[in-house]
Amino acid sequence: MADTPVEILLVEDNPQDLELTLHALRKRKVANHIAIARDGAEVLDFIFCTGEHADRAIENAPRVVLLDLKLPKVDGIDVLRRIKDDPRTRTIPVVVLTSSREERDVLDSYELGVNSYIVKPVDFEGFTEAVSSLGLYWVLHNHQPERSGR
Amino acid sequence: MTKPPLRVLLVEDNPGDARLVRELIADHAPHAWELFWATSLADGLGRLDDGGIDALLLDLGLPDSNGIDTVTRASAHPSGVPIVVMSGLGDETVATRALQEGARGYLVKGTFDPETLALSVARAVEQQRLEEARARLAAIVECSDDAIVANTPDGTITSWNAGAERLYGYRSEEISGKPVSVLLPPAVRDDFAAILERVRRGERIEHFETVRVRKDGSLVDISLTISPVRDDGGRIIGISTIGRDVTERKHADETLRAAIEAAEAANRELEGFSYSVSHDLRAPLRAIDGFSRILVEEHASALPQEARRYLKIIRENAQRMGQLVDDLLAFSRLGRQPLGKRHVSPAEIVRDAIEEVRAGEKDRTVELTIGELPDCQADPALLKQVFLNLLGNAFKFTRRRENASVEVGCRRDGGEDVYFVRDNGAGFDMRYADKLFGVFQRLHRQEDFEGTGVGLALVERIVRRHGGRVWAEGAPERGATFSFTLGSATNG
Repeated sequence: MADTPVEILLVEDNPQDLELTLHALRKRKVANHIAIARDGAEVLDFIFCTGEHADRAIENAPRVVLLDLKLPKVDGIDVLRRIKDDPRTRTIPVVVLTSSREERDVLDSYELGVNSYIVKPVDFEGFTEAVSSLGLYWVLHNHQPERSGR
Repeated sequence: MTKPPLRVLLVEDNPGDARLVRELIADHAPHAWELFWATSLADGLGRLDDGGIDALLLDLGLPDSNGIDTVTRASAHPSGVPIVVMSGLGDETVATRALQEGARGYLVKGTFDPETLALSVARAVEQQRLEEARARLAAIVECSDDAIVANTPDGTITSWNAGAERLYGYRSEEISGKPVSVLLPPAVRDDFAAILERVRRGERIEHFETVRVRKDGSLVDISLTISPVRDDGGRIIGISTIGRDVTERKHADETLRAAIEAAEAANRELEGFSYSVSHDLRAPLRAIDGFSRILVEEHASALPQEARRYLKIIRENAQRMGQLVDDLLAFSRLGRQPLGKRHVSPAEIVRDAIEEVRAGEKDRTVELTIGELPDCQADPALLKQVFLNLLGNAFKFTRRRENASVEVGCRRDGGEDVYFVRDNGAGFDMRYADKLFGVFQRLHRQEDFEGTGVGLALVERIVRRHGGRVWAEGAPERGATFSFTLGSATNG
C-alpha cells in the first residue's frame, strides 16, 4: 500500500519554491511519484521509516532526494549527515538545493558526500532546467543498488 | 697586590704618643700608611673637610674635646670616615660607649703592638666599605618600584622593600618574620609550595604570573621572579622574590581581547547578514520570476499583448535584482575571504579571462592586443576577477564601435609594474572619474549599457587588498584606460 516506489523525495519548506519545483518536475515529466517533506524531521521520518512513516520499508528508498539546505526543525546539513552516516541509506543520491553560493561553500566544508548540488537561480528557467536534468539523471541512473547492512 | 697606602689622620695632642705611632707603623709596615697629624679636634675635623682621609685614629683627651664627646663629634663629621679610638683609659665602659658612638675600634695606649694597630685600622676601613656597599645596594632595592622580598629557604620573610609595602600594603616591620604564605590566596597555595621546592633545589623561576592577596584582602595580579640566594660556598641560604604589579597590563590585555571579540562578533553578524540576504532576498525573487514565467508560458493565450509585456518587465526586473544581490554578496565575500597571494602568470590569467568574456559575446568582432605581462605576486582567483571585470567592461563599452579594439598590457612606471586594459569604447567624462569605483555607481544609463555598478568596486577592493592602486583615464566616446598596480611585491 504505502510501498509505491517513490522516485523523488522533494524536501522544501518554502511553499512557492515547492510549487515551482513540482511544476518544473511534472512539466518535464521527470517523475510520477514525488513525495514531499516540509522540514528536516519529516525527511528523517520518511527516510528512516519512523513517526508517521513507520509503516514504510527502509529498503523502499527514494531514487533521489532533492534537499533544500535551510529547513525548519532539523536543518539540511544534519539531514544529509544522518543519511550519509547510516549504511542503510548512504547510497541514496542526495541533490542539495542551495539558495546561494555562500551555502554551497558551507556545504563543501562539511564534505558529507553530497551527490550534486544546484544553486537555485532567481531565473526560473535556469532552475527548471537544473532541477529537471539532475532529477532525471538520478532517477534514471539509480537502479536501487543492493543495500548492505540489513 | 700592592694596595695604595691608607691615608690615616692621627688626632693626638701628645707629641710623644704621636711619634710612637709613627715609629710603630714605620717599623712594621712602612708603606701601609700615609700618616697625617692634627693636634686638636678642630684641627682634625678641618683636615677631614679637605677630604682624602681613609681613617681617623683618635685620641680622646684633646685640648678642645675630652672623653666620649670627642668620638661623638668626630663621627658626626659628614665624611663618615671610620674612627679607631686610641685612649689612655683601659675602661671597658668607655670602650663600649665609644663603639656605640660610632667608633670601629678601641685601642688602649701602651697595650697594643704594631700589628694590632695596623689591623684595627685596616679592619675599620674595610668594614666601612662593606657597609657602604651594602647601603648602596639596599638603597637600590629600596627605591625599586618592584616588590623585592627576601625569604629564608622555608619561606619566612626576612626583608621587605618599599615596593613591597606599596604592592601588598604591609609595612616591613609588621610582615618581617611572618611566613610568606600570608600573601597567598588559598587557590595558589599548592602551586606556590611546589615552586618554593623547585627554587630550594636551585631553580630560578622567571616572570611567573600569579595572584597575591593584599593586607586589605584585595587580590592583585603579579608577575614573580623567584631565585635562590646562595652564600660564597654556593649553599642556598635564602630565596628572593621580585614581584611586579601586572593588573594594568592584564587590564589592557583584556580590553584588547574584548575589542577583538567585538570585531569578530561584528564580522559574524555581517556574515549572518550576507547569508540571510542571499537566502531570503532570492527566494521571493524566484517566486516572482517563476510564476510570471508560468503565466507567460501556460496562459499566454488568455493574456492581452500589453499584459504579456508587463510580465516581461516584471521578470527582467526580478532577474536584475537577483543579479544585484549576487554582485553585492560577491563584494561582501571579498572583504572576508583570505588573500592567497602567490607567484602567478598574468598572461595565462588574461588568456582565461578573455576566453570567458568572448564566450558571452560570441557574435562580436573585437580586435585584441595583448602585450607582455610580467609575472607577479597575487591571489590568482582574485586577479582573474579583476581582468574579467575590466575586460568585460571593455567589451561591453565597445559594443557600438565599428572597429572595436581592446588592449591589455603592462608598463614599467616609477619602479612599479602597471597593468592596464584599454578600449576605444564609450569612455567617460573625467569629471566623474572618482565615482567609477563606488558600489552601485554607474555613469551610463541602464538602457545604454546594462550593469549593476559593482564590477569596478570589486576591482578596486581586490587591488587595494593586494596593496595596489587602480585608476582610470578616459574621455566621452574616446575610450577608457584602466590601470592598476599590485603593491610593492609586484615583481616578487
